[in-house]
Amino acid sequence: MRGIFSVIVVILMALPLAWFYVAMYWGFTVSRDIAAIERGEDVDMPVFPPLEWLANRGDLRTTFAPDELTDGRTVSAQIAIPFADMLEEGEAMPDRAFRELYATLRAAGYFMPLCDEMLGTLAVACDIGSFQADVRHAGDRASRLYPSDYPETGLAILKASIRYIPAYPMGNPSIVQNGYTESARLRLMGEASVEDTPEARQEIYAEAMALCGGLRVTFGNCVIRSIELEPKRKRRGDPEDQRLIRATASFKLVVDKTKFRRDAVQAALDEVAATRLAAIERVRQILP
Amino acid sequence: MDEQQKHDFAARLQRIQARQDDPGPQPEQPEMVQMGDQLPPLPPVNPPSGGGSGFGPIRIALIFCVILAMGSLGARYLADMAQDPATVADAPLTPAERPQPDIASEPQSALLAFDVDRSEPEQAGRRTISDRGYDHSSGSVATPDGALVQVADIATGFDLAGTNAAPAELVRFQPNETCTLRPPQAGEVLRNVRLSGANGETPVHAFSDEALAKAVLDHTQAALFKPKSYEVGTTAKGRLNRADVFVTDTSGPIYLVLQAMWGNTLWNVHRGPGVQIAHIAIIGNTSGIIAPEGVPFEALRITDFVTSFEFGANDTVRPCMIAPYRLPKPDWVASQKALKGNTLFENQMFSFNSGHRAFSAWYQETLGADPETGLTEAEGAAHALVGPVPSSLLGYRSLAGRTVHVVAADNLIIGDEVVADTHRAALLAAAGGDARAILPAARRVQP
Repeated sequence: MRGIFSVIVVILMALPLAWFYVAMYWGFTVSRDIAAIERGEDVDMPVFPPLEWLANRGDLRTTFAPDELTDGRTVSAQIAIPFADMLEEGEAMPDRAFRELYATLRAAGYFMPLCDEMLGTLAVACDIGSFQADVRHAGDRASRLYPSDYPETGLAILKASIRYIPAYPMGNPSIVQNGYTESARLRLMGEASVEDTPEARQEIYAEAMALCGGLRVTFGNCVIRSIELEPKRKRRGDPEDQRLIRATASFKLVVDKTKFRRDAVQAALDEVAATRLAAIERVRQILP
Repeated sequence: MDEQQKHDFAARLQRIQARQDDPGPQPEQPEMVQMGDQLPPLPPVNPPSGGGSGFGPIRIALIFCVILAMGSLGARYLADMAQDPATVADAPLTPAERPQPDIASEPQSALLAFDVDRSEPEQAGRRTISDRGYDHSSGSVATPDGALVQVADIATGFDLAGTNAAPAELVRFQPNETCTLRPPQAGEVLRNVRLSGANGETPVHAFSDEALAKAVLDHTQAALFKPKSYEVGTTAKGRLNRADVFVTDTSGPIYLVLQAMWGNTLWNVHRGPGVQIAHIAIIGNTSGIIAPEGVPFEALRITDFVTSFEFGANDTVRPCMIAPYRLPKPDWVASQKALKGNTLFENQMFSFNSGHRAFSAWYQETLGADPETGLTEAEGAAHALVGPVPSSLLGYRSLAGRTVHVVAADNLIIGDEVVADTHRAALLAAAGGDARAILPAARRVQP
C-alpha cells in the first residue's frame, strides 16, 4: 500500500507541474499574437492550441525543409547486375561470405547516374540516402522478379534511395490553418510498365511534378514524397525483362483539417490525374 | 509441456524439497552451510518500516527533484518542437540533413574506426552464488566436491597480470563431424569438467567470414545511416575465454571430457605428477586447447548438431543432443526460486532438467557412463580441479609463447588490435580500396 501511496503522491505533484509548463507556453503564444495584432501585423492564429502542431513537426521538417537533403523526399530504384561485373578488372573473386558486403559497399556508385539525371528537372540537389544489396547465387530460391537461374558467382540486386531537394515550387504550408500533413499515392504512366531509359524516367518525373502542381492549385502546397521505380517482369525467363520499370509516386501536403476530409487529397489526386490523361488524349487526337 | 513432463518435474521438485527438509547426513550439507556463512546476507525483500510518517524530507526532496527534472525536459521538448506555425516552411526548421561521415580524413574517419575490445588482466576474486550455481572469479577454483580452493593451493607461478598473455601460435584442427567420441578403453577413468562458460581472459579470437562480413556491414550502415539501429565500431564476437584445468587424479589413465555450454573456450590443461591422461574430448562451440605433450584430443562443436540454444528447444531426447546442460542442484538460486513458485525459474529449471536428460541420453550412449561421473562443474570458472588438491604444487603455465590448437574457423587471430585491423581491411577491400567511394558526395545544380 505504501508503494501505491507514493505513486499517487508523485502523480498528483507532477500533474500541476506539467500543466504549469503547458499553460505558460500557451499563454506566451497568445500574448505574442495579441502583441502582433496590436502592431498591425497579420497573425495566423491557430484555432487549436499550439500542441496540435507537435504531432506533425517531424513530417513537416523532412518534407518541406527548403534547402536540405532529407529522407522525406526520395526516388528509390533497384538495379540487378552480375556480381562479377562489380569487380575491378583483375580483382580476385571474393569468397561467397563477402559478396554481399562487396556489393553493398559498391552499390551507391551505380545510382549516381540516376541522381545526375534528376538535376535540373526534378531536383536542384541529390545524394544517396541509403543503399543495400543482396547477392543471389545458383541454387538460391528464385523470386517472382528474378526467376531465371542465377550465375555461379552471383547476381547482385542493388537498392538505393536517392534524396533530393525539389527544383519545383513546394508552395507555402504556413498559410494553411489547422494544417495537418496528408498523403496520396498514384501509379504513374497510366499504370503501365515502361522501358527503363533516361527518357522514360524524365517522363515519370515530369508526370509526378505535373500532378503535384495540380494538387498545389487546390491546396496551396505539395511535395513529391517519393517516386518508386520498381523493376517489372514482362515474360518469364526473358533476361531483358528487368529493363522494364513501373513507377509509383507518393505526394505529401499540408491541408486544413477543418475544411478537408481525410480522403480529400487522394480524391483530388485521382481527379487531377484523370483530367491530365484526358487532356493528353485530346491533344493526341488533334495532332496528326 | 505435457502432463507426463509436468508430473516428472513436480515429482523432482518434491524430491528436492524432501532432500532439503531431510536433516540426515548428506556429504554436501556441512560444506553448504559453511559456504553460506561466507556469502553476504540477502537483503530483506520488504525492508522494515521505520515507523512514523514514512515520508522523510530527503525522500520528498528527491521526488521533487525528479519531477523538476521531468518538467524541465518536457519544457525543453515543447520549446524545441512547438514553434510558431507561421514559420514552418521558412527558415527555422532544424537541419534534417544527416551528418556526413568524416570520410575525407582516412584512416581517422568514423567509417574506419572499429572498436578494440581489449582483454584486461583478470581481477582476483572469489566464488559467488549465481542463479545457476557457483561462479568463480579468477583465482578461485571449481572443485569436484565444491570445496573452497584457491589456485595458489594448487599451482605456483599463477600471475593475474599475465593471464591475458598471448600464445605464440594458433593451429587449426578439424572438429569431429560425427557426434561420436572415442569410447573409453578398459581401465580408463572417466572424468568430466562442465561449465556454462569459462571466465579467464585471452587475446585469442575465432570467428567466421560470415560474422566478419556482417559486422562490417552493420558498422557501415551505422556509421553512414542508422546509428540507432546498429552500433558503430562493433566487431565480430569470437574471443576464446580460458579455463585452466588441473588434473591431479592418479586413479588410472584419465579420459577427460571438457564441456562448456556458452561462448568459446580455451582449455589450458595441466597434468599433475603421476597423472596419466589417455584422451581428451571437448564439447563446446569454437574450442581451443593446450593439451599436455602427447595426449590425443578431439572436439565436438555444439552448433554443428544443435542449432538453437533456446530454452525448451533441446528438451527431447534425440540423436546428437550434445549441448552439455548441467543438472540443476538444490542450492542453485534458480532452484530455490522455482520451489517458491516463481514461474520464470520453474520454466527455466524444467528446461535445464529436460536438456540435461537429453544430453545424458546421448552421453550415456556415446561414452557408456553417467555424465555426472567424476564431475567438476560450475556456472563459470577460470580454473577447474580434476582430482584432489595436490600435496605438492604444480607449476602454472600461462598461454605465453605456447601453441594453441583451435577448432577450425575462418579467422583465427591473436591480439585485440588485430581484430579491428581485420575488419578495417575487410571494409577497404570490399569498397575497392577507397572508403570515400562508399558514399559519393551530394550533387547540386551548378549556379
